[in-house]
Amino acid sequence: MTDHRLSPDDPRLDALQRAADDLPREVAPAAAAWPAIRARIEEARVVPMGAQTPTARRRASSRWRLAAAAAVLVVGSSATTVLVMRSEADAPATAAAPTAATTTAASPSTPGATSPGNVGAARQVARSVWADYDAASVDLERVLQARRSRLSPATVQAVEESLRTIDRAIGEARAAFEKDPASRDLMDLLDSVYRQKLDLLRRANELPLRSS
Amino acid sequence: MPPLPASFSIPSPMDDDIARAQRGDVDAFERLYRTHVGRVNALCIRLTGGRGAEELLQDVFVRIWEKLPSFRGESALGSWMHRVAVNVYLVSRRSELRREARVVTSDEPESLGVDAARGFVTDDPDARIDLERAIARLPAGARAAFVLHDIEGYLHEEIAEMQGIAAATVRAQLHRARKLLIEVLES
Amino acid sequence: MRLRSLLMLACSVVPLAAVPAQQKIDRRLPLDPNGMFKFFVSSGSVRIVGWDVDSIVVTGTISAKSQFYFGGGRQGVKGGVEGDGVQAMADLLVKVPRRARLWIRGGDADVQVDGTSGPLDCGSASGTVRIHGTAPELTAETMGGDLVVQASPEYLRLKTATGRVEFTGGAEDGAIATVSGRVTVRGGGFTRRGRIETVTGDVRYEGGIGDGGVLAVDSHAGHVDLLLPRSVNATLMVAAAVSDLFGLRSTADPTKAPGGISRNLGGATSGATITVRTFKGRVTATSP
Repeated sequence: MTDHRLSPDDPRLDALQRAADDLPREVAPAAAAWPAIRARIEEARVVPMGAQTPTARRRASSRWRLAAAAAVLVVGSSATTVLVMRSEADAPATAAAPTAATTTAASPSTPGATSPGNVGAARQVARSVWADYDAASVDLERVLQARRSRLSPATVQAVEESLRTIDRAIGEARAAFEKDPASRDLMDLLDSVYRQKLDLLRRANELPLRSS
Repeated sequence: MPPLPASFSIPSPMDDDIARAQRGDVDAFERLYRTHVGRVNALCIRLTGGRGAEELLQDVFVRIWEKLPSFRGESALGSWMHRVAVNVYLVSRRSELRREARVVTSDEPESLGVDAARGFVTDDPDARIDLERAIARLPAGARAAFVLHDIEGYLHEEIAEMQGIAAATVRAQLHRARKLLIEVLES
Repeated sequence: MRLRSLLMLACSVVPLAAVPAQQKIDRRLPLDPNGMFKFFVSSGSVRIVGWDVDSIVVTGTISAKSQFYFGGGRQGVKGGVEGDGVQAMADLLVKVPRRARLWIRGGDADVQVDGTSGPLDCGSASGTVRIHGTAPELTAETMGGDLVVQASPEYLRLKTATGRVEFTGGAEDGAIATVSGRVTVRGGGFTRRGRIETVTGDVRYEGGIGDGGVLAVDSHAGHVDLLLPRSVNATLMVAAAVSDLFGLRSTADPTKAPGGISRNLGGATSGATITVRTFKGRVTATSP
């Protein structure tokens, strides 16, 4: 049996330390690491504080998951492509069998949909999420107002026009969602538009100011 | 040259991204991720011995995202991320590490040596085991002590505090790790 | 006393020399090949050109009431033009080491970057940004100004609000976002991952996509036109929320599609994935 004690003067310790010092300090991760991290971050963002329900988690969507369309077409080398139907109501005449590329999508019979029992909860969670987005927007808009006089007129016009465009889109999508709260795609689209609003306001608030 | 006016403060791009990420900008967080992930990933691989390293990396960056608003710049961001990574790992393996810490301080060092060395028998006795693979095969507590102290430069007391164990236990685990590594690398 | 009176009289009748309307700038500082350069211009235009000299040279003119700042060491140089809004006009040419890391901001200035190959972070509020280079990482933002980019970075992030985005080239990992600005992508497209988001801006994607790549397009109301090379092997999924505004219902039947034939998914075992989501925009996908 090897003596289990190492003397502090043992020269092999120096050699071991030198070998440890030579180890690379950085190792690149797999390419798939960031998408997985982003998906977890974005899932957590959609659910408001205290509303960590399994339903809410299922609904929170990562943009890197496949959209649950009713039918799917393949763009192949020999053909131009054709387009596909909306996500739920239309019976997909050309619905294709799932492949490895779509194994994470919802089943074709209930694409982009939430089970009926969760529709009420879906509406409630969505309104709670929108309230969080709206509150964040109000805070950012307040900051923007304080900076407005020191931005160029062209910039102010671009920002305000964009905010009007976004708010119209939010209004349309929310109205549609109230009629169809089972639509996961609508939720995802709304999430996308809301995030664009917050991003626009953040960027506007970080623009350099003209000196007064 | 006159001093820059207050309106002409150009923060570094990294400062920009930290501030943006703290306010919820995921794209900015992604840039911070790309800057620091290499070092954090190396740490995750070595701490886990390669098993579950990808899951740990994800857990670490999700935790960094959650805690980023509390980062006040008292240290470099990379150092702060590093500590978060260590903490996430240690918390996740707390029970396993504590169990091993009790074993290390048992009264039967000879049997410990045999048990620990058993894991170092390779499938291919003729193959050289390089240091990375040897580290990967260390018992978890010894591996953590070696990686954190001899590779990452933490003090015994820091490692002990993070794990909630005595500094003497960390020293014992470190000694054990070094002994096992030397034996394996010489074999 | 008499002399003083005469002098005062002379001063009152002799016109003052005209104050110059512009200041000439000609400044130079050393910078290491991989050094960092940060530059801010309030209004006007700045053109950044990469060259193979370890120096930064700034030449051109700025308005009389502007202030020019320029300083730093071999690792990093910071500079800029500041003044009172419109009066801080600048027309500058800046030569930088080709591989320098660049951070360029134009308040309302037009920014042009040519021939650089270091990481680039560039923006203007309402000015136009034009980039032609080989930066490995490229981030560019405006609000009202257009973004015209010809490059093939590994990492690409382009954002405007009302400005249009024209991207020619390829990117391994790319994201483009506008509110109402039109987005046009030509060339290689996104090889591994691409994301395009608009609210009402139209999207025209004339690029390819790599094997196993992922392209996601979200547009609330913009028209999305995908022109994909025949060699692209991809699974295309489209979700649209409002059926009576979905413009392609008449072409949903494959036999009526203009030259189009659909393929079963079974053939795309290792292909890319293209996902388009829209509320009321029209979506088309064709091959030339």
